[in-house]
Amino acid sequence: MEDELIAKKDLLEITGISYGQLYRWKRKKLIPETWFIRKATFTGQETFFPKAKILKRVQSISELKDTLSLDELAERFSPQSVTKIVLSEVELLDRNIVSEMTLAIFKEFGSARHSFDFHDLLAMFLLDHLLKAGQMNRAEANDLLNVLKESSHKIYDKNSCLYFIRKMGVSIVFIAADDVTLYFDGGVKVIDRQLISASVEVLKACIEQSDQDENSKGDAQS
Amino acid sequence: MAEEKKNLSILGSGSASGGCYEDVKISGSGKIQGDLICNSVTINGSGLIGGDVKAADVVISGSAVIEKRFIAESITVNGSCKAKGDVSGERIQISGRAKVLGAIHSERCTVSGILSVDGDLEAEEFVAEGPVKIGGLCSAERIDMTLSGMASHIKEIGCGILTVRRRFVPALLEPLLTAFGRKKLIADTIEGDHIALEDTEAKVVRGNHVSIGAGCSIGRVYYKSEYKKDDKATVRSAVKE
Repeated sequence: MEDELIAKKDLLEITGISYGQLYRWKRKKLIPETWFIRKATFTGQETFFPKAKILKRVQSISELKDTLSLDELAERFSPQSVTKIVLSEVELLDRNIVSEMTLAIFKEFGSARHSFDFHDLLAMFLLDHLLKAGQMNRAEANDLLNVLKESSHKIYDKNSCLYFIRKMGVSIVFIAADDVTLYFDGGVKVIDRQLISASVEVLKACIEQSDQDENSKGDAQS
Repeated sequence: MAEEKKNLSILGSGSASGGCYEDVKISGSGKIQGDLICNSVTINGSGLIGGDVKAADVVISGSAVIEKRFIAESITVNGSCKAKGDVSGERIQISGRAKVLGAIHSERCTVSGILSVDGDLEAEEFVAEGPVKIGGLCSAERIDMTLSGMASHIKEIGCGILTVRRRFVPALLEPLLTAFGRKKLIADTIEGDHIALEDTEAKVVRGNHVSIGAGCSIGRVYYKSEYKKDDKATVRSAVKE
């Protein structure tokens, strides 16, 4: 379904913001470039925005701009903000992001923590996927967590790719920092190949979805 | 990092590979292959940098070509500079001539020479005293333009405060200079909170406080609170929104 659009001048009228503010927010990347949709009208070219998204964004900027600086706001709205996500053990299981089994393995591997940042979540998410698909056993899980622990902070914004291969019963887990083609000898079996960025997206969507569910549950109760 | 960075200096004609340096100086004709990361770059002769440039301070007094992105805290162009990628610099000062094929992001951009940008120009403050050509959106908190030299072309302007003025010419010389044609600003759309224009041609002007000065030729004006028009300006229609 195509989003309903709103013209720039209507947006300014409804929200009461000025041209200067709108352009300032655009410069600070508070409003993504892709939301500026140009269309020909009888008065020449005009700019339109996806109505629901922009109204929500403008409202949240207006609410927060007195307490946060524009740069802090930009950070909050940027896709990189995943790194700020921290979930507790209970939340993790309640929201069905990973299985109990995976969590147990992860805790065995790492220290006995009760809250997990996004790196941990991503590691668990990938592990969960591989375990559920029955492609990986518990010993190999350690290899996976090792490589992710070592380098996962370097690979977020890149087009990196996780490989899990096996030859003659020996398994190897590695990460290629770019989505390149790899050629193996004939005995190697590529068991799984995961684009990290895709997994990040999925996990993020998963967390956001469960956030919303939580909120709506809360609303229903109150 | 414990490793001490070396200086690179090309005197005469030579070429070097890119990499990390402290200070880079080209005084003759120099070519640097690959990316360059350093503290300062000074080009007095002619320089070609085959990759990205990342530096704190860049001064170009001769001529320079940068093949990819150009990122620096302070950029001063006294000679001529062509950047084929995006340019970002906190302070950009162009007294010579600069051509950018990408976009410019800056805090404070001052042009007293000639600037041509194919993409967008974004700055908090943009002051232009020479002719500028911007192919995309020129967006800034404050834009201050003094028209001189050739005509300026900007596709779109979006800002807080925009002031476009004609350069003051002594009355005695005026007939002589007008014979060469008026210097003007040509734009498609102009949007801002406070807009004051002189010698500007635009299809659409939208703003809160709009003042159309002498020599302007505007298609449509949409204003919210205030609208002024000089007798020597032509405006096809003005609408209060």
